[in-house]
Amino acid sequence: MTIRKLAAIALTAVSIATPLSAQEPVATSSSTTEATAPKPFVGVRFGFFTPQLASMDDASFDEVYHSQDPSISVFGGVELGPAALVAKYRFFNASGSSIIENIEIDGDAEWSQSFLFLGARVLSAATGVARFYFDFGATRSAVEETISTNNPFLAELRSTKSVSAWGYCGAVGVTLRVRPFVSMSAEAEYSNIDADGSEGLTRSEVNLGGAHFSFGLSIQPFNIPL
Amino acid sequence: MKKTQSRIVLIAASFAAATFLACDQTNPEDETSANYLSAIEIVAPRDTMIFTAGAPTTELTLFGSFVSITTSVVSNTGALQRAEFVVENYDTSFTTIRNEDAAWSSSNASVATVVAGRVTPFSPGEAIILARAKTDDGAGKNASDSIVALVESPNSAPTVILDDPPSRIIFENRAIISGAAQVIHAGGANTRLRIEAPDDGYVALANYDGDGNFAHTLVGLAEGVRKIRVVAEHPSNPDLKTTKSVEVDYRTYENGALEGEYRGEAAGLPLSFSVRFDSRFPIFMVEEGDIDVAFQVLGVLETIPFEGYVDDDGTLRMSSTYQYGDFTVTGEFDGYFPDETTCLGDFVFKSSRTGWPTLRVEGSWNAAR
Repeated sequence: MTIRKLAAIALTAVSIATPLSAQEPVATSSSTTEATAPKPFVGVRFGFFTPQLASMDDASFDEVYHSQDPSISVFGGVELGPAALVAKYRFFNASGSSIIENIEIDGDAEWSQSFLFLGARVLSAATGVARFYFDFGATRSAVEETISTNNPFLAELRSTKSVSAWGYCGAVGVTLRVRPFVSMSAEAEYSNIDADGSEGLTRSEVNLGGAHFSFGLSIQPFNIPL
Repeated sequence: MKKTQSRIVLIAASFAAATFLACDQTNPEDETSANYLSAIEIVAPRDTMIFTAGAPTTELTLFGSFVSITTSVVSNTGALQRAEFVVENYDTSFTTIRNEDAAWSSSNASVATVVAGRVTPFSPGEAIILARAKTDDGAGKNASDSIVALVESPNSAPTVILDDPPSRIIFENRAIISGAAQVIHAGGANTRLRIEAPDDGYVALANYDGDGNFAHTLVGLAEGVRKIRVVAEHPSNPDLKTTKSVEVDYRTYENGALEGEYRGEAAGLPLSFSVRFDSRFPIFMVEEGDIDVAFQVLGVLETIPFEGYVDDDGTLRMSSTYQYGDFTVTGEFDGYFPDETTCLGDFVFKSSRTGWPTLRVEGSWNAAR
């Protein structure tokens, strides 16, 4: 699915999801300005992520990586009434033991992955402190995996592989306004990013995406119309 | 070169340690090739055999070197990739093979012929007896070995060949002299083989086998350089005789001849030999009475001290077991001193680690002061 198609769907979805009250013309020009004026927001989020990597014919991610750092996301966007444009950047590191066969040495593995999400957000009506939202859009992920062993002389068993690909992503979340300009949020996301090139493995394509659960804090430092 | 030495070279080439080959093969299963013939050897104490013209045929024995190769893929698998290489482990075995399985030929049929390993000597001269067999490795190559058939007249002085070295240092009052003499039957008697050490008044008759091979031990030698004579007399005419000689230098540790360990005790002459045997693995150095082996495998250089002793017969015997990380390295050195400035010998060297293929190398070495 192309990014252009995703954007078209996003705009359609925003149109459908926007409450009628927000679409209807209002009586006063000042309230109209306040409801539709773009409001930027930024935030940070910590979460848990495991690449799905699809097929389990070879070593799965969990078999290799036993120590995963929390994912760290920064995000920002501009709220336009019941919708928003959102950009998110997330990185994630893991370390573990690669699987060695036919020789008694220990393997090491390091995983470093980043995500860049560009998409749209549909927000529920702002009737209380909580607002639900739905994000969807395109996401690009870049992965670098390095495998090695505890024998520095076995160069044949050292390898670094870098893969990057575009995919699509959807997320649902809720924000809780705790201060006039400060919100807490929780989000569940799923992304699908098919990438070629699993060198030497039986699977030819892997999904670099997967489920991501995160909690965060966002602020609207300019909670005023731009 | 002695046939035994050529065999060591053959073994060394066959074992060739374990070979690591990077390749794209992805099958992790071990695979073993068929046991295939890689080399043959005519079993003989030395490269030259003496025959007497008109004597009955002599049957040679053929030895085969068989190699099997076990291939396994060593791999390292991550979530996104696999790196691997192939290990080829050579295993060599030796066994007698049928003479009929080889093609035999003589370079000079008027001197000697050979049929299925049976040599018939006709007239004086030299002929190269060649055995060839196809290797089973699929390459269609031939393995071959040869000996020189030295055919001598039954009416001349018996020919004598003495084994190397022509001189050597010994540390006991006895020495072993070996070689081959032409066997002549005449008048119900055979070639008369006599060993003499004139300086010590030693004279003895030596025994030999049907091919004329002998190994005689002299006893009662005095210190110093001793010339030992081997005299082969024609059975019917004592005037037809051949004399060959070797020198032994009999020294005692007390006269400062050697230093080093002698059966666990300090002894004389410094072994300040400098040896360098360059190969992929290992590197040998003999300095100041010790043999140090720079063990080089997978890029690691480690010095391994060898301990041993010089035996009474002048032979050097050294061995070592060394632990380097998870590797166990074992090695054995044999050698002798043809003179005070030279040391020659053979070695066997092996390294192993649980789960790893065994690395092994054999060959000969030499040292000079």
